Amino acid sequence: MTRKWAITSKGLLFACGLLVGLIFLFLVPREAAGRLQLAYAHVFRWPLSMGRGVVRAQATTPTRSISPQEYEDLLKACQQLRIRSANVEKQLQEANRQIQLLTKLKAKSGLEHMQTIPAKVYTQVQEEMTISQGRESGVAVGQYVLSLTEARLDDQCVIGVISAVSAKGAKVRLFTNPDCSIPVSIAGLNVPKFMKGRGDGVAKITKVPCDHAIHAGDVVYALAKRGLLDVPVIVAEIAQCKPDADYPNMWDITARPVCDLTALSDVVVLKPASVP
Amino acid sequence: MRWIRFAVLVLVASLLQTGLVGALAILRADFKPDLLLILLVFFALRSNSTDAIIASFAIGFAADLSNPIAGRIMGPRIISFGLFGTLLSDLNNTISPRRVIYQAITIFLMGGLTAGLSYLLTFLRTNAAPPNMAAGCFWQPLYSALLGPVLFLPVGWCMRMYGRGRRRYLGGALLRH
Repeated sequence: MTRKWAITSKGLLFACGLLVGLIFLFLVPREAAGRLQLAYAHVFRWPLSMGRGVVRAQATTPTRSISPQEYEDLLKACQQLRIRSANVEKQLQEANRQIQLLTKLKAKSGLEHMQTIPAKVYTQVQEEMTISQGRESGVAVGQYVLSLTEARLDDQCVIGVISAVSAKGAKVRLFTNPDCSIPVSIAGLNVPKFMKGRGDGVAKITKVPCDHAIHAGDVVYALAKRGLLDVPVIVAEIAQCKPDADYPNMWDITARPVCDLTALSDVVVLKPASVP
Repeated sequence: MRWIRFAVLVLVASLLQTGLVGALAILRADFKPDLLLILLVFFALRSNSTDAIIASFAIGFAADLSNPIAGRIMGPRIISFGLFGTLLSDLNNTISPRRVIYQAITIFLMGGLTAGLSYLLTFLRTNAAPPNMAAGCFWQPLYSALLGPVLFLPVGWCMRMYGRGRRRYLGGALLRH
């Protein structure tokens, strides 16, 4: 009888133990099991940390002495890394600044559907600029180029059009270039005209009848052009307006850029979003 | 069985296993003995069947609590230690490893089997292979097998279980083989 009870009891004990194990394994959530393990580690943190301290002390390897030459090399490597890190940090700042500028520019009405390609000005010779973006970035001949200055972001102006493109660069013909002629309109007038560069930092608008009231300081807009410019954008302001010597009933209008073209370091090329 | 001594012994072993046994690691950090495995074999061989079952599951619980195979998982070692501890205890009625070499082999086999089952159960629960399987199934049992028979002496002294044979509770009388 006792033997039979003992066998039953053993079987029951084993089944209970197995059941507890299965419950822990499959029914107890992992978070609860984790909390139990953490509680154990928390309660016995003192002996555990002491034991780990002993293990760590045993595992610590003695420091290797280095030669003066190795030290010099390491110092140089460290210096180079510091310089590289500083450069990368500066580049990051510059990229952030450009992103902020472009975000503001995109928010301007009329430019939402245009893709903006920021570019650096490499050189500027005889009313022509070389910029850092080319065919690979989607720049194409005829696209308008705007100034990108932090100080005058609200007065973003057209400075010229792309005249030649290479894979990684492009040439911008400024509107003051004698070979550049762009359709414009003068503020307050509904008369589209062409503005042609004169080569000495200004441009001319001719054949405007004298019956239009035009004054110095009036704004000149580059006219919207399908696929290239969705809305008119300021391009210049009237510097001088006088009767034409050859045609006395016409105005001889001189326009000057609204920003200092020689001081520009960043520009943005406007690319229609629909153009791949 | 002296259960309070047993509880203290298992607790000390689990604390040592978690904190201090790393100092005995050779070659790699996970090549270290498993004190709880040694205790499992000790109690399965030297206590009566009922005590061996309880001890096996309790040691498995301590192992899961202090040294889980995978984080936030409990149960694999309760089951594997309980199952193989009980099996060893039952087998001990017919084959009783008394020589040191046999005890070492027993520890090694028990280590491999319990680790194998624990890893399998962990895989079933998490669907991810646990790390360091080779160390858990081979190197750790091997190290434990080398150390285990030596540790049987102090553990036996501590638990007042000196004899090589095991005590069995039959018909209300304690018999020594």
